[in-house]
Amino acid sequence: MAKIKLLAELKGHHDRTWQISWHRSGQFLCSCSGDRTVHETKPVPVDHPLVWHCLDVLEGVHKRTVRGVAFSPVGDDIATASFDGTTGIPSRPGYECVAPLEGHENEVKSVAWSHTGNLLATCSRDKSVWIWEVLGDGDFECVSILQEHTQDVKMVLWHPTLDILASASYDDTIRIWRDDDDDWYCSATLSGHTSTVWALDFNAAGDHLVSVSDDQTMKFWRCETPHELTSTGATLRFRQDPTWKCVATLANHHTRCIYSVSWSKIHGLVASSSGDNSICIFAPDRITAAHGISDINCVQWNPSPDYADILASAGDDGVIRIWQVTDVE
Amino acid sequence: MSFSTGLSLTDLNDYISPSQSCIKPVEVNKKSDIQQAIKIDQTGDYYEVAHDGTSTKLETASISLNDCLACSGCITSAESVLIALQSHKELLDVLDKNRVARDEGRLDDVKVVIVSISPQTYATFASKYSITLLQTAQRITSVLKNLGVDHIFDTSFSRDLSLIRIAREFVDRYRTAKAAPRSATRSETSLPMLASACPGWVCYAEKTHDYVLPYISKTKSPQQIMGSLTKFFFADKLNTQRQVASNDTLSTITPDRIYHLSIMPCYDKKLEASREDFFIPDFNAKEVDCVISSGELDKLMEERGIDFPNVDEVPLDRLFTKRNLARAAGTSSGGYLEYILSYSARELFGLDLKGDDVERGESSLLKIETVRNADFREVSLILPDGSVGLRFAATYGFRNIQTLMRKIKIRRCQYDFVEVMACPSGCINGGGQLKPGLLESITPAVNGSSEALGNGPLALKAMKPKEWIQLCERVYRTLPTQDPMANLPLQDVVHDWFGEAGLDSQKAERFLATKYRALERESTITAVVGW
Ligand code: SF4
Ligand code: SF4
Repeated sequence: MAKIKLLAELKGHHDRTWQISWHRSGQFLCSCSGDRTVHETKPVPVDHPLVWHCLDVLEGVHKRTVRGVAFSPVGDDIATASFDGTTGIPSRPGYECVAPLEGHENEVKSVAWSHTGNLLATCSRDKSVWIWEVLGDGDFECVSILQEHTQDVKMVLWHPTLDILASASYDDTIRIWRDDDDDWYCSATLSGHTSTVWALDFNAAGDHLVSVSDDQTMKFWRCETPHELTSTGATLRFRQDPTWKCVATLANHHTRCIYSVSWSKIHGLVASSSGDNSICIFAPDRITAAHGISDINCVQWNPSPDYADILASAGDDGVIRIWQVTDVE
Repeated sequence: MSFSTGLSLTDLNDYISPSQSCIKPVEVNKKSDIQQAIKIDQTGDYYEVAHDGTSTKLETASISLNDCLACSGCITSAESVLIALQSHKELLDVLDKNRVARDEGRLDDVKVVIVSISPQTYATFASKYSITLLQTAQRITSVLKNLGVDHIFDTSFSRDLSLIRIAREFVDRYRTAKAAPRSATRSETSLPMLASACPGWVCYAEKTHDYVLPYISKTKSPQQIMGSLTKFFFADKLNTQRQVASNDTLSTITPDRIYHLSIMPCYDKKLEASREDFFIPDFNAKEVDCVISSGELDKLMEERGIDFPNVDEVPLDRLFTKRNLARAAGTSSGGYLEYILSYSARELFGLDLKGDDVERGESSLLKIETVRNADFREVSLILPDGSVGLRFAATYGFRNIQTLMRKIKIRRCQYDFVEVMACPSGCINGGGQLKPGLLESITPAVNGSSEALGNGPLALKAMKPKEWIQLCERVYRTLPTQDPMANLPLQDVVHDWFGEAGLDSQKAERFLATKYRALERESTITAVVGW
């Protein structure tokens, strides 16, 4: 049985906290909230995360709730997704102010940087997924607008090592997007959840995906690359895309909607958080601990090997909690 | 509400359509005065919940066109109504009514029926049947004449007028912009000037990017210029002819006595025809009464059992039709970039540059770049001293429009003119064009098209959409090019219609220019709960 210890509580936000994103160094994180701000927070001293210190409060970027936040995996840029319909690249001391990205018709739900930091994806209640190329110096170019989802898109997330995008939707499906030449297309639709898919994450190798849903289950999907097709002339022209097969479904761990999932790229543990006020930690399909106080909107493993046992969570109580998970055999 | 059979709603997502919900979609049947709750289920159906808890599914009210025009709540639904109201059935109705009126001797009720056809329509049919555009035009002319259409015109004729007007507008605007001190306000003399011929783009700008409206050229699109030409200039001409024919007792032809239909590559042209600026209040008429897509023409022929490969080829109408169907240099989207650049190179810098040079990119005066993808081109005019004289761009497709909008919004747009088109690949790829999936009955392609397939005569239906579009574009470009100014019959029209002052006259302004206005969107953002 793993031991889970609460290390710290960060009480800066004035409304529910929605999402957390760790800086790639694992040494600080940012969080976003219904209070329309983003906080950047850092433990002092760095390797003993008991006392946290707010570095910066990013205000005035958005007129409504900031629903999503993401640290660039390469630079120090932050991207924010807001219900005001825009995607912000908030300016911080030492950074140039960049005009927000517009285009979505209504609430932006999630934002994600690709592994190189060269692409930025957003999704919205308007059912669309947008991909922007980051040209630097505040320049962004819209490279694709994908409209295959039939409902609200809840989350977008990039593959850890490739330019492959996954999106999760209120239409109960997950879609995988790839680029072909200069345009993007839906290469796979993962159906199986019986209600809204709220979140997903890849494993470190990127050949597995975990998704969590309002149907209270967690599903694991494996990527299967098809064999060379022994085809006749006419079918040769069709590209073969890898398919994703559901290899496991975990039910009965959470008793309400599961909102968030994080698959550690370091040790492979999966953490999920739910409307049932609990966090679950899974080592290969076994539940080892549950914990919690209020609706938990987000869990995120620390991405750095040095702090891989640290888990952060964000809840409706407006508090960010920092956990240490040890003794997992 | 039923859609014309050639059209399904899925055809509409060629440009923009994340739809919003209608704000008055239900007709609440007031059976009692007691307030009842309305609930919406997951599929978007509406239910009326009575006090005893029983719920009744509500019928979606049928919304009249007038409702929608009066309400900008959800423009997308309004659009589908506008689109559904215009179908090829309407043309057949008008022709039937004409027949009856003639039989009953009510000659004043007979309408003059005019059909204007876009060159993209010819290109899509020519590609499907592997015949030339001229043959295509001659066969379509024969089909329509047999149905009872009186005149068939070619919108590349009015497009020349649109090109000439917009090039002059650009030069004026450029001079004003350069003479004025740099100003932070976005005005009707700011650069870049943006093309106005694509209603998909114009409507989108009106709905979502009002700051961009002052940049859009005031020149009417080829379709709407053809509308003025037929309803005013041509009507006058008909009346003069009738007066000359001595024993004619017919009353005057007014705009409402002409039925003008156009055949276009996209459904957006239907919305354009319904714009309030193109309504003629004095006669309760529209410049263009009805627009159908290339696909709907195909449907019409299929319904009438017309065997297109065996249709006779008859001579084209002479009036408002370019001989050989010559095109302006440039892409199938109209050649706005090419013509304006060549015209202003001459007017502003005294340099000799032909539209053809711009199309081929063969001139030391040019620098051409594909910026990110094939649908985003930059063309610059390089002056003899090596400096950049003019920066033009063509941006096709929704995603490139987004990039352009952002550049303009943050004032990092260096272009002087941008040819903006909503469809990826431009008009040849309009949502109403024939699609490879629709071509099943067709035998292997020959001539130009087999080479497009790379390896001999594969059936067209095996083509990928991209290959099909490339083929259509190439077929379009088999037309000879002609400088719009060399369209001599057009010069005569301009002279007859606008008098000595020509395009400088007030009258020209009235018939060739239009305006734009921001459409207020109901703020759906604030109305929504949840996350
Ligand atoms: S425009 Fe107005 S009336 Fe028409 S469908 Fe939308 S909300 Fe209803
Ligand atoms: S690009 Fe051409 S076909 Fe497409 S919407 Fe605009 S006018 Fe219509």
